[in-house]
Amino acid sequence: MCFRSILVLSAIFLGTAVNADQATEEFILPSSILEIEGDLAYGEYLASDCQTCHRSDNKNEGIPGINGREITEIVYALHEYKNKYRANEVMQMMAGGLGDEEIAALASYFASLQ
Amino acid sequence: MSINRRSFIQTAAAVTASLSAPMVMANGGKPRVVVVGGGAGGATAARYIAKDSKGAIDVTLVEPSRTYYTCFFSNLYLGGFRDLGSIAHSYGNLASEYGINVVHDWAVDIDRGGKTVSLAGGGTLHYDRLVLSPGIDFVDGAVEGWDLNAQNKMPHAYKAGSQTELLKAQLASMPSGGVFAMVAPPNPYRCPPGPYERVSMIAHMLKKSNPTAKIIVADPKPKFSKMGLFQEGWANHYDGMIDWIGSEFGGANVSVNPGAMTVSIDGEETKVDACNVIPAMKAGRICEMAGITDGNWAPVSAHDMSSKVDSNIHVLGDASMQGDMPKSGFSANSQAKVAAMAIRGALTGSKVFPAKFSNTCWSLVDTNDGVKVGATYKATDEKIAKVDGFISKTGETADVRKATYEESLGWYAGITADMFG
Repeated sequence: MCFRSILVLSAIFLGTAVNADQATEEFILPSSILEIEGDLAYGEYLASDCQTCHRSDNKNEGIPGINGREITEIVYALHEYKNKYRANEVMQMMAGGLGDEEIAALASYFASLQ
Repeated sequence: MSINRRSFIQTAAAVTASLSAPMVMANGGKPRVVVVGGGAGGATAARYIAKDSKGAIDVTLVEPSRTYYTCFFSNLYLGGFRDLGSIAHSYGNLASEYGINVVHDWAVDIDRGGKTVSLAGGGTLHYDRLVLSPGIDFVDGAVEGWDLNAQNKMPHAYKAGSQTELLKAQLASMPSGGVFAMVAPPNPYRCPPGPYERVSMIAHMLKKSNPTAKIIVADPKPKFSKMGLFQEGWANHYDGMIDWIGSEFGGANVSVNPGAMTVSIDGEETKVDACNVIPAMKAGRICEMAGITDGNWAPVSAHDMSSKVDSNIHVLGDASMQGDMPKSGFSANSQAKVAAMAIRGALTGSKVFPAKFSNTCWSLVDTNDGVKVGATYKATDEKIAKVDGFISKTGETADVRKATYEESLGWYAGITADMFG
C-alpha cells in the first residue's frame, strides 16, 4: 500500500498523469512478478532503446532521467504503462512490448546506474 | 511461465555467446570496425560499439562534415522555433570520450574482397566489419527540370545545413502575397511527415511576416503520413493559405523551370517566388558503389542489419531496405543499437539478444501544437515487422498537444546525446 503513495508521488514527479478513472483503484503486482531477478546484461541491451529519450547522463530536458531509481518503482511504472494505467502513448507502446522478464531486466539495469 | 522465459533467454544468450568465439585477427591486432556516415545511424553505432566494447574494438568513423546539422528539427529552424546552432553538433566527444578515430573525409569506394574503404583524400581504411549509414541521395531526373545544378534556385533542403539556410532566406525574401511551392517526394523517402511539418512551419513563419502569401504543394502521393492531423492543423491555424494537390488532382505530373521560377502542375504553369523541390530518394551512393543495392536501397537482414549481399557490411537507417520501419532518425538510432550488439558479438564474443526496434516521429504543426506517431518492431526472417503502434488523435486538447511538443524537445536532447555523447 505504501508503494501506491510512492508511485502517485513519482508519477507527479515524472510529469505523467495517473489515469483519473482508475486512480481510486489499486494497481497491485503479484509477488511472482516483483520477485523476478533481472538479467543485467539483457537489461543493458534493452535499455539502449530507452536511452534514446531517457538520457544516460540522467539529465532531464523534458523527459526525465531514470537512472538509480528503485527496482520496484521502475517495475511498477512499466507495468502501469503496459496496462494503460499511466497515460503517455509512447511509454504505453514501449512497455506494451515488454515481457515480465524484460521489465525486471530493465529495472535492475536502470537501478544500477548513477 | 516467467521462469521458462528466463531460462530460455539465458540459454539463448549462452548459445549465441559460445557460437561466436572472439575473432582472432590475422594482423594480431584488435578487430576493426569502420563506420561510414555520422548521422543518427552511424554516430550511434560508432558510439555504442566503442562504449560497450571498452577498447576491445578499434572504431573509425568517416564523415565529411565537421559540423553535423540534424535533418530532424531543421523544419523548426525554418519556422523560427530553433536557431541553426541548436541543431549543429560536432564529433569532438566521440573522439575524446570514446576513443573513436573520427576521419573527416568522403568514402569513395569499397573493396569487399579486400575489406577496405578508399577515401577521397587518398587514404585506405581496413575493416573486419563495415557499417554503412550514408543517408540518402536523390534519384537523377526524378523531377523534370530539376537537378543538383538547380539546387540554389530551388533548394531541396533535405540534407540539413546550408540548403536549409538558403530556403529560409528565400522564404524571408518573398514579396508580399507571394507564392511558395513545394514538390513533395514519392514513397519511400526520409522522414515521412517531414515535408508536411515543413509546410506547417513555413506557413507559421509566413503567417507572421507575409500573411497573404500562398503555399502550393504538388504531391505524387494520394495521401501522406499524419495526413488527418496535418490537415486539421492547417485548417485550424492557416486556413486558406495551403493548397495541397495530391496525385488524384495531378500532383504527380510536375515539372519545374528554375531559370524562370515556374512550376507546372498537371499542365498548369504557376510563377513562384520560392520553391522547395524534394526529389525521389535512394540510398547514399556509397551503397551502390559497394554493390549491395537492389534498386534504390540496400536490403538487410532484420536480425542484425547486415547486408543480404555481404554479411560483413551492416546498413543502417535511410539507406537500408528493412521492412516496416519508416526512414527516420529514430529508426536509424534504434537499428544502430541492434547492429552494434551483433557486431560486438561477432568480433568479441559478447552476448547477443534478439533484436527489438522502436520509432516515434514527432511533428510540430504550430506553436505548442505537437503530434506524434510511433511503433515497435521485431525481427523476422523476412523483414523488420511492425508489432504495435499509436498515432495522435485529431481533436486532442491544447494541453495534450503542448505536452507532445515538450516531449519532442526532450527526445531531441536525448537522441543527440545518444548519438554524439
